Amino acid sequence: MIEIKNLYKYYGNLMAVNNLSLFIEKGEIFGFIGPNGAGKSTTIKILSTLLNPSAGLCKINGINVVEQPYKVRRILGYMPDLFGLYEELKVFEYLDFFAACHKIPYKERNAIINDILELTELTIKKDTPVGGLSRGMKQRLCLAKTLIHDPEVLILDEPASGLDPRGRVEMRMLLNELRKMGKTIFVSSHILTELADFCTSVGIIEGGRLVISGRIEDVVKSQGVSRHIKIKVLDKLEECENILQSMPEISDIEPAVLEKVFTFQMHADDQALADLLKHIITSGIPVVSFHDKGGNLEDIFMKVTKGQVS
Amino acid sequence: MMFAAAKKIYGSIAPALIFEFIYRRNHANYISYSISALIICACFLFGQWPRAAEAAGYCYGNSFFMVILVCMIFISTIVSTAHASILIAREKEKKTLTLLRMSGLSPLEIILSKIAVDLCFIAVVFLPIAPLILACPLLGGITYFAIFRGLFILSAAVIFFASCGIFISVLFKRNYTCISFATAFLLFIHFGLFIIDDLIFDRFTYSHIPGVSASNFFSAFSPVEMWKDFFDSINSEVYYYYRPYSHELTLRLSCVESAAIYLTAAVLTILVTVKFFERYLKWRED
Repeated sequence: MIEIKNLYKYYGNLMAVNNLSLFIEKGEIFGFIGPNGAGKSTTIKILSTLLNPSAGLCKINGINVVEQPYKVRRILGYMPDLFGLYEELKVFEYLDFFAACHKIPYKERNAIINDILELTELTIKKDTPVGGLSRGMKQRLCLAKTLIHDPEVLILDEPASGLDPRGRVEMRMLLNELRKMGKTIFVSSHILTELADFCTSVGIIEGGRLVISGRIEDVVKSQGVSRHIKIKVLDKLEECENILQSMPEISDIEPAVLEKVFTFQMHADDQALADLLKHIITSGIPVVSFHDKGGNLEDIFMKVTKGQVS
Repeated sequence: MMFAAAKKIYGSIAPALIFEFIYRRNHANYISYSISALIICACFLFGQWPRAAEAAGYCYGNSFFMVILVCMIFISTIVSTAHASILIAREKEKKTLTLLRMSGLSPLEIILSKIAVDLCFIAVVFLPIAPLILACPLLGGITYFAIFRGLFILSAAVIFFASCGIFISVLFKRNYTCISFATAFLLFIHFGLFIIDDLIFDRFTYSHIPGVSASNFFSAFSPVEMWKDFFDSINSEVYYYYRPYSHELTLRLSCVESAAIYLTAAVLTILVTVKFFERYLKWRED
């Protein structure tokens, strides 16, 4: 769906993107991680046809972004990190304007806009001037605008930056909803916890160079980073703790006695996790929940990056 | 086929027109601009109004039309260029140009939409003046043909200034920079071309010394010359202050020829702006 091959971008003598290659499958949520100045926004601008690469190939759905930018824009929804809004317009009018720009027939516009308002939970603000919206709502409105022409691919540059915790949770839920709709989402961020929860694959960029990329499980495995596991039991806390402590792959066990929860790190694959769960249950410990939080992206990030900027 | 093409063009520019004239809720501004234009014309007309004794047997439709047209020329020249010059820059300042570029509109559609907005703005400003112009032939001394010729030339000039304004707007990032350059452009095209002729043909002393060169070339393209020719054509009593002197090289264009040149220049400017719009913005990003 998204293909980047040997991408280079120079700003004068400065190399912003250095031989970046990526392939993102249809329906994936790809988290593009990197510190400020790593080359994330440059890559995103090139993918969004707003900037030409110095060298390399970028294709979205098989269409070259340099040769056929307008064709790419028709199947692409782009949400920039810094965006302006027509503050004097009402929310409905704002979306109607962009729907008209996308040549959506007048008769269909109303229904489409209402659907998108519902998806982004802005229906109640339909007749509110854009200038009167909160930051989180403005982010959602910009995302609504991005979705108006039902694009197959979404490129979101720092969609949750500047949002309060509630706004971030809402944005995450919205992105999960879009993923269920089959959209391919390329999302950049430097807030790792924000990406870990909903991305299916990640790429870490530093100094313009892609340091690592792939499905989160594969990246975790390849980097030898422990998985964060949370288990809640009904009782027999002591026995459970004994089992956990008896296993050499498990470390950093943190019991929360009142909540009857254990959190720990485990250096293991899926099979080992399944075996652990089976072992606990067959030992007669009543398990309420068993949650694999995956590898900690922060650990991976710190492990593979050196703090360079491009 | 023509209908389909017209429908397609309307489909492309309609969002911008609806946005500008309906959604932005600038109605009070537009009404005040129109009333202001009407007041300016009315004030000048009041100064032209003849006494009853002088008016007897005198057809003053001609002089009325000239006064109204001069007001329209001043207003439209300044407003169309200045207004057009901020239309894209405003989007850049508000950071909405990226959204607009990604909105499915091609550069041609964006540029045409902005020019359409500018022209409609001028049309709205002049709307209340229309009945005054149409009444001029009833006062005698001028025909409807001459009026429509004047309005055609004015339209050509406005389209040219709007296209140049948009070009300037694409070039610069800030509104005030665009307005400054638009002003400089207007000064240059109205008066700078005369200075170029003065420099090239050494015309500094020609005006009242017989035998000294009165050659011109670039100044023939100035709107000043175009309007002079138009007013000459409707008023035969105009005194040609430099024509009698010897000419080494002269280019003299009729007002209709000038209008045609302006229209062609407008089309070329639009095409150049469209061609370089994306490329220039990407280059600026670099």
